[in-house]
Order: sequence, then C-alpha cells, then structure tokens
Amino acid sequence: MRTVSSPPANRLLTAGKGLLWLNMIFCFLFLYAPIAVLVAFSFNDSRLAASWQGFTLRWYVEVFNSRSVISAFQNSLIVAFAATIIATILGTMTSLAMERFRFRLRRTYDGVLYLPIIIPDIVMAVSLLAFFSLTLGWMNSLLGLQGAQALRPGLATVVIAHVAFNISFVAIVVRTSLRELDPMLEEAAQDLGADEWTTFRKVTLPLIMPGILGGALLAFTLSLDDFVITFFTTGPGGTTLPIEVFGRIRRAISPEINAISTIMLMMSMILIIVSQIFQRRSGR
Amino acid sequence: MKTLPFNSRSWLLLVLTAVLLFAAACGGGGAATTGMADSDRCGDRSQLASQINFFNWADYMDDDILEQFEQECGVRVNQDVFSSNEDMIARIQAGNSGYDLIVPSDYAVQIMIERGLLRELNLDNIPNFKNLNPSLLSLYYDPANRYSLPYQWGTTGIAYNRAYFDLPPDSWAYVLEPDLACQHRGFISLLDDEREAVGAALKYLGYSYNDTDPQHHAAARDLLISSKACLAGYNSDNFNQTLAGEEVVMAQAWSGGTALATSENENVAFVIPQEGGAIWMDNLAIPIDAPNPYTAEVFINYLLDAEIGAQLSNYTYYFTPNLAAEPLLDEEYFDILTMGGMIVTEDVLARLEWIERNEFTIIFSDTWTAVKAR
Repeated sequence: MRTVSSPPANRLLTAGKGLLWLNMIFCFLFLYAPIAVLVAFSFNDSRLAASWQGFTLRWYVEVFNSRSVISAFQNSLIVAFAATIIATILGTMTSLAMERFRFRLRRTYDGVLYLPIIIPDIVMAVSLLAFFSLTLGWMNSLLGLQGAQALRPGLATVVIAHVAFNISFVAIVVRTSLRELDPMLEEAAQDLGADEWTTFRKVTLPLIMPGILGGALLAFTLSLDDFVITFFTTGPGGTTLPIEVFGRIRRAISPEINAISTIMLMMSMILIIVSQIFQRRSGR
Repeated sequence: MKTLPFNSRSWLLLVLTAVLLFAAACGGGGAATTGMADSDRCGDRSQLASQINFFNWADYMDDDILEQFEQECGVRVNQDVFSSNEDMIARIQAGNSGYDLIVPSDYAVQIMIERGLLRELNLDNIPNFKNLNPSLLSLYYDPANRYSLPYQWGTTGIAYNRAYFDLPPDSWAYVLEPDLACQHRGFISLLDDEREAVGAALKYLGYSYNDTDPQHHAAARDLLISSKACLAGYNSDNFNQTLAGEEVVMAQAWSGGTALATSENENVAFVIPQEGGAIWMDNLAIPIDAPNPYTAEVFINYLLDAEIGAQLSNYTYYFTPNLAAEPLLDEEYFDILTMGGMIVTEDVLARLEWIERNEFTIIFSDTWTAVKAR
C-alpha cells in the first residue's frame, strides 16, 4: 500500500484536501439545492402537487401572457436602468472626490457613505416614505396642485430611493479600483502637458472603467431585486416584479412564481457573472 | 426647406399623433352618445376620469375584467398589489397615495374608518348594491356600509381527504384532541396563524374565536400543546399543496386554498365544524384622498354587476357576496365547491364568527408564542 509508506505530513495534507472538497460540496448543496428545486418545479406539469408530473412550459406561457407580470417586469427594468445610470455617475464622482481631494468633513462623509449599506432596509424604506410624503406635500401646496394633478409617489420616487442606496455600492467598488491606480500615471500625463480634464478623460477614466462597470452592474442587480425599499416608496403604476411575486405568494405558491423567479434568477446570475469579470479585470 | 430643424420628421410624427389622439377621443365621445343602451354600466361618462389607480391583493382580479372595463367605459385601471393589510394601510396613511380604490379586509376597514382614511360611498352611483347578499352587509366593521362594500369572502374550517374518513371530521376535536388526532399522527396540520389556531382551540372549548380571557387562553394553550405531538406541523402557506399531494390527510384550512386543492385532487373536501369556524371578508373602499372618487364608484358598480361578479369568482375560487352572480358561476367552479362541500348555507353561515382585532387581542400572540415554543 502506498499510503503506508507516505510520511504523516503528506497524509494530513490529503485528509485536509478531502475535507476541503467536502466543505465545497456542502456549500454548493446548501446554496444551490433549493434553487435547483425551484427551477425544476417551474417546469412541472401540475399546479399544486409537490411530485413530478411531467415537463411543461405552460407556466412560462402564462407568465408571459399576464398583463400584471409584464407591466411589473417593464417597471423593474425602467427603475433598474435609470437608477443604475444616475447612481453610477454620482457614485464615481463621489469616489473621485474622496480619493483625490482633501476637504472639510471628508472623514464624516466617508462614514456616512457606508450608512445605506449598514442600516436595515426597512429603516431606510420608512424614512424615505416619510421624506417623500413630506416633500411631495410641500411641493403640491407650493405649486397649488391637487386631486389628479398632484405630485405623488411613483416610479420616479422609486428611482430616487434606489439611487440613494446604490451610490454607496458604486462608490465602494470604484474606490478600490482608484486606490489600485498608480498616481504616477496621472502625474506623468500632467507633466506631458495634459490639463486636469484631459488627464481624467484619457488616463484615469479608461483605467478605472472596469471598476465603474462592475459597480454599475452591481447596482443594476440590487435595484432589480429590491423589495422593501421599493414597496414603501412606490405609488400608482409602480409595481415592480419582486412586489408582484411577493404578493402572489399569499394565495398559493404556484408554478408561475417558480417561473418568474427562474427568469429573475437567470438575469441576476448573468449580471453578477458579467460584473465579476469586470471586477477581476480591474483587479489585474 | 433648409431652415427646418433636422428632426422635422419627429415633429410631424408628434403632431400626427396628437391629431389622432384627439380624433380618438372625439370618436370615444361619439360612441358614448350612440351606444347608451349597453353603456349603463359606465355611469355618467362625462364625469369619468381617463384612468384610476386600484390597490389590490396580488392575483385577486381577472385581468380580462380590467380590459373589458377599459373597452366598455374608456377608463384604464392601473392595478398595483400589496401583500398585507398593514402594508397597505401604511401607504394610504402616508397621504397622497394616489389610489382611487383599495381592498382592505374586515378588521382593516374598521381600523381605517377609525383613522379617518376612508371616504363615504355614494350609493346612488352604485345601483348594483342591490345584487349583494343582505346577510353579508352591515357587518361589525362598517355597520351601515357607509365606507365599504363586500368584494370576496372565505371561511376557515377543516379540510380532509375523503379516502381516509368514513364520515366528515366535523369537529375541531379531530385535530385538537390527542386521542382522535393521533389516529392520523403526522398527517395533520393547523394554520400557522395565531388567530386561527388559537381561535379554533377556543371555539372547541366553547368560547368565542375572539375570547381574550386569560384563563380560557391557558386552557386553549394546554390543548394546543397536547395535540402538537400528533401534528405534521403548522402550515398556512402551502396547505393546499400538501392536501392535494396527500402529505397530510386533514388540515385546518381556508376555503379558497382548499378549493384549489380540490381542483387537483377530488378527494379533498371541506367542512365547517359543528362548534363553528371563522369567516373573513375583503372589501372595496375608497381612500379619503382619492383623486377620482366618482370613477372609482362606477368601477365598484361594474364589479358588482352579476356577470362580472361571476367572472371574478370563477377566477379567484373565493365566494362571491353577489347573489345575482351566483347562478352565472361556471360549472367548474360550482362542481369544485359542491364536490368539496365548501358551499355556505344559511345554516352554516350562522356558525361562522368574524375575527375581530382590538387592544385586548394581543393575548393571542402570547398564547401562540407559548404553544410554538414547546
């Protein structure tokens, strides 16, 4: 037997390797087994039974024929795109300010920036609800709007709310790639006669672009998945996909929900993978 | 034409669209005057808004009804969904929500009236009021129906699998008394709901579903704990699936979910225990600051139409409060409810009790926590 002749240290190593493998298998099992079941049952040919009754695509057909699901899906995309674009611009500007400039209250600002990541969603949601109802009330009385004309929560307020929490995530991702950027490169450009704007455009921006895109994709995914903050800041015509799904569960967990979840899962997964590719490139 | 901006074509398109829209609007008006005969479901068309915002539970409305209303009356209904009364109240209470029509449950109507969040209905605009079952009007939460009208309702009772019972288990004893319940040990579930599970125990002990006496609650707690060993668990999310898949043979259940199970497995039936069960009602109501209350009332009237009422319940599988709609319900709906024994006769209705909420009902949480902690 070969194992008998191998030194004890080596045996420990193989045992450790085995445990590592076991650990990985269990991790994947815990993470992905429920998801695999969810996806599998979205193709199950029965409305209720928890047993496999045969393959069907009819739940997907029903989902795509449902007016409420389609409009919720559109709303989700509108919010995610708008919030991502605004948050990415603001977040990138924030991280540039923090990394490149010294100003008063910079440290305070630094701490405050992390707040949306740390505080519970529900706290942020309720405070945004109060904020919007207050400010919209003021604007309505200032502009003399009432009844059907009055300004009220809707997709626009959802976008603002999503921008509010997404800025922090974008800023953090962009900051890491800014920190890894060699300041000598910028200095060299300026030595060669480029002004600050040209330096930013031709040197800094291209170098941190992978970080910016990574941050943007992260923001997009978070925006697409958010339920709590969206629910409290939305208004008429502003139902997004997570709100629609959560509401439907109350009646019965039907295969349609599995189908919607599978579609959302696919989208999120694609985005996460793309975002990781970008981040890896920026880390290089 | 050099001076024209380069995007003159988009301007042309815009003007054309505006003209078309104008023409369409005029056309709509014309149709209204000529087609009076079949448009009495739309009220006074000149007062209708072009759209209303409807805040409803998810999957609780047939999309076809919204499309028909839009075609017939020219009003677009934007539907948004909520998943609990409390969430909905929070949104309405923040003010200026923009919703014209909401669907609060019984106790939520009471809370919203107390907080001044609902607008009085003008029944002159809702002639289909006459279609409603009188025994489902003037209920405790809105005694004169000044603020709300019934939408859909359901009951709490015992769902069971016929293959395992010679006679219907028509007493809460079957799920609560250990001798009886343990005959099906591990194949019984109770609703995971403090008001329903504790309420059933109170009912079995001869008290009200709403009893708040601490001694009665202590007895209910002991009963629930003693039956716990015989249960598969507490389940209010997918009891319909476990019933249909025969993972449980008996369960405390809601009528609507049981009907879904019956449609998949015809052995699943439903009974209201002799001691009595619970009843709930979701209602149509208009928020105090609704932008288009008149149009909302016209839409309520539309929903209370006999034909539309039947279409709605055919979709939801819940009970309709609309007497005129009952004969129009389709065969499938009737088959399932008759087969499942869910039809509520006057006799059964008398045994049902409303779940009320007030400052004393907090005791249900304590009792339920004590049961679940064991």
